[in-house]
Amino acid sequence: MINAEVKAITKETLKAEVKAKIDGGNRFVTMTCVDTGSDFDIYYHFDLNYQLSNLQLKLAYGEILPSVAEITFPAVLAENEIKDLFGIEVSGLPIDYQGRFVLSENSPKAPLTKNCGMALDVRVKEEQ
Amino acid sequence: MVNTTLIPFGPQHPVLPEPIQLRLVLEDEKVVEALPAIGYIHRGLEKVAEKKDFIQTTYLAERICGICSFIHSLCYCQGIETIMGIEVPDRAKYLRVIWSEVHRIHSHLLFLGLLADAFGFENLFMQSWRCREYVLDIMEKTAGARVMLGTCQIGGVKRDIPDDLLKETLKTLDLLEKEFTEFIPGFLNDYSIKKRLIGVGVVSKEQAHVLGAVGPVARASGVEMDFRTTGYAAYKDLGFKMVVEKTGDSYGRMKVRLLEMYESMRLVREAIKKLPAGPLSVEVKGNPNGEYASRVEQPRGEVVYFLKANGTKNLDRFRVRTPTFANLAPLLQMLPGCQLSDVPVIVISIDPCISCTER
Repeated sequence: MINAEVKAITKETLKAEVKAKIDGGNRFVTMTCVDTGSDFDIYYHFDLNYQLSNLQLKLAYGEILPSVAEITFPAVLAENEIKDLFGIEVSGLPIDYQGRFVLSENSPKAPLTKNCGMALDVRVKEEQ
Repeated sequence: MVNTTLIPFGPQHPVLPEPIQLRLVLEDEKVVEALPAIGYIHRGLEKVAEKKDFIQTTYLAERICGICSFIHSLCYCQGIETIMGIEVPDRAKYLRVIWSEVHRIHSHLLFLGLLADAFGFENLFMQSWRCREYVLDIMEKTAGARVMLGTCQIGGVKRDIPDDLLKETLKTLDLLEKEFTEFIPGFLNDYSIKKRLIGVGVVSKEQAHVLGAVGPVARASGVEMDFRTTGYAAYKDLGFKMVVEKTGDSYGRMKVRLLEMYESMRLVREAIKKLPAGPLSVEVKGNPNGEYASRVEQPRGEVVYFLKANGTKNLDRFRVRTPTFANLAPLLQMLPGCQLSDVPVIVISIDPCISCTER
């Protein structure tokens, strides 16, 4: 577990939970996506008086992630980054970089997923 | 009739030391909309970290940024140490503060030079960077390198600073403070600088909080937030005092950094004065297993390292949220309404570090 409160949420409760955090005076810190090998863990990190609190959303492969940028605008950049690096489709993005936020058109697709097939992974597999 | 124009500001621009593009929508000379575009120097370091063992990743973390490199490795090491339950020796904690604050001074002097260059004050640019050489000399003498120190390691630090070098560091700081104090009035009182910075790129306290601003950008708007107050490393013993301004404009952001350098110099002196004797590091046994979000204060603000370890030598996830990434949203708030000629100054006023941002 992270060094702070972690609350498990669902896609249905996501926006209400984020809104409750923001209305409670929390600062949006960032989002983290983790590929567990069977699904994605999406963490939403918030800070209040130097105390970190987190919302954890389980997202199945291929599922669409709803954007929370309408509630907290800085999330739009983190969501675009997750879209690029993990290949997760995000719905309702107010600014959509179309997968070109940090990656270029010739970049590997979804490089931070466990089975991305990018050049580095291919080389490592060949060596093994 | 109003002319609407779309201007790509960057990725190559005289005021930008690193590539970022701002797509500006203008009505005549007034900016009405701005959209950042990054991706010119994405290196995939978070992915590389998964292929390195957790000890090697210390050096990878240090290379995320070429300005605040030591503080990156400090944040990473503190995260792994917490996961593994390692208690770092006191002397190492103090040495970490010394190198962190020296890095902060050199970063702020770099910023002042770039800011002066952005509004065409070449003399102040040269004075700032000349003084920065003193700081780089301190780092070279105490660590053997000018920026990439490589002294932080999991469990402590790699090398000590002997007494004679500590005395020399104090003398160099005195010289730096004397010369720095001579040209500070140039930054704070010059008519043309005030004209270029005061009331330009304003972010209110509420906006700074809502948009997730960190570091001097937040503190210049009156948000009292500095992670050194949490007392990590040896800060709890050194009586850290936060610098906060309320104007929220480019002048305020410059002033916060100017005053922070005095506090950094005081912290280095205090750490040298109280530096305890003892070992530099403890042995690290086994592999980390667990999750931790490590946060420390960089020159540009809060940096977050989310670390997920699985009991092997490789980390499952190595996620870094750098302060410039957090300050991009406030930048989008600062730009609409300003004149095109103010854009370079406003962009520099957040002290952007794009290598950090893209990793």
